[in-house]
Amino acid sequence: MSAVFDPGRYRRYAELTALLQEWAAAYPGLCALAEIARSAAGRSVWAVTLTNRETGPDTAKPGYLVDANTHAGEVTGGAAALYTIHWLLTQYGADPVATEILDTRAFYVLPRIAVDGVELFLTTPHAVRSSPKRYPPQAPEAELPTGLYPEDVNGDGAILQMRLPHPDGDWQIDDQDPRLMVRRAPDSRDGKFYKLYIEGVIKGDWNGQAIPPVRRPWGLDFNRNYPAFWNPEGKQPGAGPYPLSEPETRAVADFLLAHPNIGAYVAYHTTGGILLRPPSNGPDDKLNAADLESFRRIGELCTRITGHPCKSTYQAFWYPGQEALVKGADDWAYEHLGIQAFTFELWNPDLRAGAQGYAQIGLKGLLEQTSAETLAHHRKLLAWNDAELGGKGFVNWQPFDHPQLGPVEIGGWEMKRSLQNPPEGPLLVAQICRAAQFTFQHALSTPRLALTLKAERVGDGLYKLSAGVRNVGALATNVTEMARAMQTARPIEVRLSGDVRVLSGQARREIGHLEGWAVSGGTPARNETWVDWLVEANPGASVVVTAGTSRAGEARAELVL
Amino acid sequence: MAVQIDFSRYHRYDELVVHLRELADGYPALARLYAIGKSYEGRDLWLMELTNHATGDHGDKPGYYIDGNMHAGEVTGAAAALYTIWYLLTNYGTDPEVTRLLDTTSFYVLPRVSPDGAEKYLTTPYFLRSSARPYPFVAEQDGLYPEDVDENGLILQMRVEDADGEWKISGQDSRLMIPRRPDEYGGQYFRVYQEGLIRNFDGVEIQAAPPRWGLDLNRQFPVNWEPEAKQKGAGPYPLSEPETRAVADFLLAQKNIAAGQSFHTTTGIILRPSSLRSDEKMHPKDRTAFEAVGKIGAELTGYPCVSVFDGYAYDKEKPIKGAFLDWCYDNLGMMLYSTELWDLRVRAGLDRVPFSAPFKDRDAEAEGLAMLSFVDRELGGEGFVPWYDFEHPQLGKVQLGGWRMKDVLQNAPPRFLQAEAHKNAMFTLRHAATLPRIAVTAAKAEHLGDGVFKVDVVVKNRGYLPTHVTEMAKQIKTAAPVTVALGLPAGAELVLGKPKEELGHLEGRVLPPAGFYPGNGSTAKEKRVAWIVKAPHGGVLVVTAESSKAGRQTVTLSLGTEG
Amino acid sequence: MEKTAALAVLKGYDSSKYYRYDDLSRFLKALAAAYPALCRLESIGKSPEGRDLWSVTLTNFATGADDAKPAYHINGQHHAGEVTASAVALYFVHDALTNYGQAPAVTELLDTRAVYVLPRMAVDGAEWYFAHPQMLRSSPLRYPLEEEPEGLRPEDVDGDGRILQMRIPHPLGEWKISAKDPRLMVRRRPEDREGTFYRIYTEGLNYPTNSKPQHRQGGSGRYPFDRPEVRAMAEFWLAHPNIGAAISYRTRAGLNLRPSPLVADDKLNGADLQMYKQIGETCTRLTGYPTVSVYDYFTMDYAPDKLAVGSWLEWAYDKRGVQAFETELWDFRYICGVKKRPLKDLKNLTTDQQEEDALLQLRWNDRELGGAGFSNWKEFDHPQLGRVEIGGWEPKFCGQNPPEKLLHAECHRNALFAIEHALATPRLAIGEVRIKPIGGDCYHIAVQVLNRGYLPTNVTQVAIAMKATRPVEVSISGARVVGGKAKQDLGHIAGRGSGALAVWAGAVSPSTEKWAEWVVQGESGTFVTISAGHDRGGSASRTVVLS
Repeated sequence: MSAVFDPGRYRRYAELTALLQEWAAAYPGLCALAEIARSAAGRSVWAVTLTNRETGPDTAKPGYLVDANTHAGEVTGGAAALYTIHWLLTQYGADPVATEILDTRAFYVLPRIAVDGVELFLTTPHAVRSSPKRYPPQAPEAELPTGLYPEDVNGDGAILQMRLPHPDGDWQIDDQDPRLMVRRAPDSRDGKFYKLYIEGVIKGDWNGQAIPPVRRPWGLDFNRNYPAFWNPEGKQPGAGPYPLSEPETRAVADFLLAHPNIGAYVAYHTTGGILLRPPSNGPDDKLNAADLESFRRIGELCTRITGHPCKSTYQAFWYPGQEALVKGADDWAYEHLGIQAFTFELWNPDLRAGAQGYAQIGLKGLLEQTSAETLAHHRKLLAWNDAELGGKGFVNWQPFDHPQLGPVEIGGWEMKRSLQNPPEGPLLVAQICRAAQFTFQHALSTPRLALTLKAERVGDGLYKLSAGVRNVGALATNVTEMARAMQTARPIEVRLSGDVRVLSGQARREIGHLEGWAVSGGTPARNETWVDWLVEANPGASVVVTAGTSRAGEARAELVL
Repeated sequence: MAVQIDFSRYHRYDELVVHLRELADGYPALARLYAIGKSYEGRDLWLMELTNHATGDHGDKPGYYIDGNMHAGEVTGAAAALYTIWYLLTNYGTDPEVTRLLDTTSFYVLPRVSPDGAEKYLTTPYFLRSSARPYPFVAEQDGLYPEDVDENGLILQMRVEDADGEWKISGQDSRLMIPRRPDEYGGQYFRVYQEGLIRNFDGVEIQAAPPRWGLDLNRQFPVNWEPEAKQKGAGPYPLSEPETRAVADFLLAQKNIAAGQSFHTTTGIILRPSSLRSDEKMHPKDRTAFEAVGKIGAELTGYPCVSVFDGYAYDKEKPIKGAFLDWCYDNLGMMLYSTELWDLRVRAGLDRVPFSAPFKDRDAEAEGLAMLSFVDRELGGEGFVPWYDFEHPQLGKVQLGGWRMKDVLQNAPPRFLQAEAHKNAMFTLRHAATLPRIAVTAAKAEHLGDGVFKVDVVVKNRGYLPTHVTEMAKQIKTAAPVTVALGLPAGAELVLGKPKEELGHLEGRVLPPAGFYPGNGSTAKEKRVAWIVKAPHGGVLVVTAESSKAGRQTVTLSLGTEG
Repeated sequence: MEKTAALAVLKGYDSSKYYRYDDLSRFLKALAAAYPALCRLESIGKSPEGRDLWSVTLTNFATGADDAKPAYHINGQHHAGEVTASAVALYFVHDALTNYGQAPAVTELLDTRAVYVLPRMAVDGAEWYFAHPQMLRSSPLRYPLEEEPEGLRPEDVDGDGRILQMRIPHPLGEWKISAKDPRLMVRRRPEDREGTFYRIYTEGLNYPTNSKPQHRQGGSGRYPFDRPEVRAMAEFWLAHPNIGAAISYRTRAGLNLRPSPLVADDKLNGADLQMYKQIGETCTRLTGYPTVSVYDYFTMDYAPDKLAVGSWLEWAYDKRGVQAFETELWDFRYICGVKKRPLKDLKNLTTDQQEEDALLQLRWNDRELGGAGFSNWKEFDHPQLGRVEIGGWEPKFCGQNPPEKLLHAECHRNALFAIEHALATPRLAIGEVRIKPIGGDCYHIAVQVLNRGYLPTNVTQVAIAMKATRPVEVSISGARVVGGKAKQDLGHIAGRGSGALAVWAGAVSPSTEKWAEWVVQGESGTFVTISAGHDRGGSASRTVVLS
């Protein structure tokens, strides 16, 4: 049955749910499915736990989290999440990476957070940021404020743009590509000019005079609803009434808090083709040096596997005069919990089109482009649409008699399966395979404790016990220094038990944290340490030593004296 | 029938609920009792809604919020809140001011925000900050946990004689422990601990264990919130607790609430925003209003009114994070005070600082003596348990004794309780009297001929506060602007003007901080609105003016015939 | 002067010549006389030496008075030596008047806008500059950046009519002769121990150090002149609140300067910056001059340049909210193929790079000017310094101003931009008027007020912040107003330039219209007049009949 799974498709809620239940049933020893929240429309937000139970419960292993579709329209991430689950389950035993992950780590997947929004996105022409509920809530359901509301007025299944000829229009038709609207230059006086609007209808009490501003009924943004750097709506559009006010976001937070073993996390978004890391609130000097190094090392790993660059959210999105800083679940996970959290913006149409996207030159760079550069950029995108998407991404302008505005032309980018997400099929598959392969390597870089136990007879019934505690993972057992500061990674605890009397050394000892081999600034990593005891015991007595810490799992060793 | 309540005692949860039910049942026209949520242990969070329903729905009147007991042990706050409810209900119809208030204003009173904690506080010897949920650790850690070791119902202090002790007995009152002088040797010295038992005791080290119930609901609100590592008691994330979340959801949903009072203990001081910024950073108009109304509070209670940052916090480098007071102002634009009830120190002739304030340039012995003489005088010595011998299972011979914290230091002793509640209840009523109030005046319709009418109204704010209540609310857009809607009779047509006109906000009587000089002696309290309608004669127009925080008023206008 | 005579005079106008005050005045008077319907000439004051400060008003008076139209201001030469500036200003006036009726842009400009031109403010200084050989420092872009010793007063000691440079052999000299071109002096390197070395001075005589070189005294120097001239400008602008955009000319960096002189772009208002960048692109396209922020390009580690450059710009934008550019005309070094460099980089040039740049200039001079721009070193017996050599660059009409053969091109392309910039200003118009009788002799009237310009009626956000412009007002008269205020305040109206910069889905055009409504009462047949007016958007009115 798994054989028929096609990773190259966007799936509606019912399909998604059926697949997850099917997999959970088919792989009981490796896969557990749980509902962590109910959406406003009563859909389940699913959590999938992937690990080999025979090698221990998930909570006793280093944990890794992948989530998707915090933003409804970014369905590429959802597809990547499903692919991830399917690959790990079907490759276990066959592929060494899959096998090691499930044997030694707990791999968690939240395949779809904005369950209601995704459904709306996939089944209607509408776009929604996160949740299709009226927001800001101030506006009573009854009366919509007067405005132009996006609607598929010509019923072609997409909400595009409307152009109206107007002597004072700020757009004109590109002389090279007649589909493309280009900005009218200050000194362009002769020719045909247009005004551009979003395809839609005017609601509220409209007196037939000036066309009112665009309004969208669903302003809520799950990724502005997390506690780190949170600000109320007045300062941060989409914030929600307070942090984690939504069942979906709150469930994500509770899930992370309930799994202190999770040390690293990737949140799937689109678009850009870039792996985003902290800080989001300033240049890199805001970041602890060790954390910066580990974020960079993992970033390079991602670039090697996927070709996508890794930059800080600040480098990618800051531009002069920017007010609210970009922030989300990943910032909360890092700033408050000290988890090594990334946002992965999949899909890079700009680069494929031979243009530079924000991933390359930053949002700042895009905003500083001259009109000529911007025009060239858009021509490339259209050419790419023709070449790679067979022209499906852009709908040429069609005349339409608008009930309120009279004759208009409707056309423009069909964003959903062009610029915002790849079309279903090979392009999508190529995107998500490489992304998933990165998360697998990232998961295997999490810390993991190993133990060696030695006993030396030093006298009559006297033994010196030595336990070697090693971190065999690439990252430190605390994963980030932030986790130390926030006290979210408990120190390694070593316990000695058995039929012995401890003469020196404590049976229970906290030995702090161990570095990982990947992050030591090039100097020899402090990723191994020895704990000694002097014990009195009868020959044949057995001793057990365990070492454990929340993020590096638990190791156990025993021997008979 | 007047409901009788004994205000000289702290009420347990069940008693409190009984009293609330009695009041709600006794005054159905004025009171509605409902739960806004459940506590961690499943207790209902009861809230009393008070207004004269005959004069309009509660949501159509400006709202005033009162809560108490957000901190488990500050039970005096619950008493003051309950007293306010009782006073309003039992004086309606007889006291003209109370009558006017309940006719024009809606009160929302939540006497006990932290019922689990309060119950544990009142029924066990334990102290706790807020919720009874184990936090920050579920499992017990190592160290000294407070326990009523001798089972006398009180957790007091233990003193252990020790040549290296930090404390010694005062020469002037043998009950009082005072710090040993830096250069002092050869006397009788003690170590002083909280009465309790030590987990994983190695026979030597005694360290206080982390609190069993360390949550602080008043550090839970999403304003400058920081995690536990940076703010003790913060909780895993803002509003993670059912109690705080219920309060937040209620205040966000009840959009008519403009101002309020949150009762705490102790110090005897009326706190106002901000805990985060100095007064220079507050909008001068808001500051003017907070100070003017705070002055009334000071006159009624004898407690000064100060900003937490400028007048109360002793570490300006580390302003408290996630406080309810700041959230109400910064995120809701509410005009909320938080009063720390009960001022034993001041009654004992000492200065007005919180007990938690560091002892710098203050004489511990003098202060101790002053408080002892006060409790001896006023409470017949009940306030302090003299030291007595006790054989401690872990420490051997110790002495137990010390202050009765709960009903002397932390709360008003029963005989002081009602007076404390009364004067603070009076302040909440005066504060509620300052709320904005929308009124429609001078409505008229002029006939221009042929069934064409010019409709004219003046909309006015009759309150002291502006319709946006605070400049902060205006800035963060939490107060909806004043609107006037025109309802037309059948067959009528609106020719000019919108069916619903937005007027922005209307000022109140808050004078500009510049003070009075010709030119700024008055404020823009009213606006004129006109429509042109074409309507059949004798038709009736309905004009409705409203603003989320200033209530709602409707007037009708019948279109007169020719001339 | 009557028309035919005037036209005769104008035949003598040559856009590849620099004109002294009398010629300038003669042409201006002739232009005013020849085109009375389009041009008005007035003196807005007198210079210290009694010359008129001319102000030219250009508009089609038949389509309305200048003060009822949106206005553009051209601030011609205000630094003595920058005579190219007044040449461009004069050219603009001549070009606009002679092409009205033929060139559609110019015709629209004069029909719908007013242009105020102050061709030459530094009248005395310019005259002195023409009459004397002394060089007047007026640009921070002096290169190489050399300093005169205290007390040396530039004089044409060898009487050749120009003040060049003197080189004097000196064992401790800082300069030596370039190996690549004997005319060229290059910096002596630290390792240069053997050879002939020179000191370089401006050609001149030594005076007691207490008396300052004349060109630093008031009346013609740059810094002293700044303040009174800005004051004159302030008065002129306060009298003309319809000025929404302006340009000021200077030499000689070949740059179009935009705000801010004081802060980086991220401190500017975003909307204003977008407009500046869009119009700046047009300027660059038409003139070839890069459009740069003064702060980015000119900030140096010492104050004077900061203060000197862009002080007018700062006043125009930061204080008045006028969308002003300051154009540095002519870039000799750029023409010669030398790369444009921000001032701070210029200071850090290596000596090699300096030599390369200088050689490029010499070669261009040999090629294009037959060497006229540089006079080779000639021995001369200096009365005070003894044997010296005098030579160097022709200072005035090569480095500071274009040689006359290149003047016309300079004038033309800058005039082209001035026209487009002026046409970007906001312009009010009345669009649709809807009249609906509602009985009882009452009529509902709805009026569409449009901004037909590129810029918003406020032009800049700073103008609103500085209260330099008032909101759009629309009023109705002719019948009893029973509904709505007779005079209504519509706030500001966006121009077509305020929209999105790229056609992303969601790019939405700005609303360039607002509506006003009334109910008036009057018998059928009554005429009512609706008029819209705004200081920077001009005025428009429409008369309709009730029926």
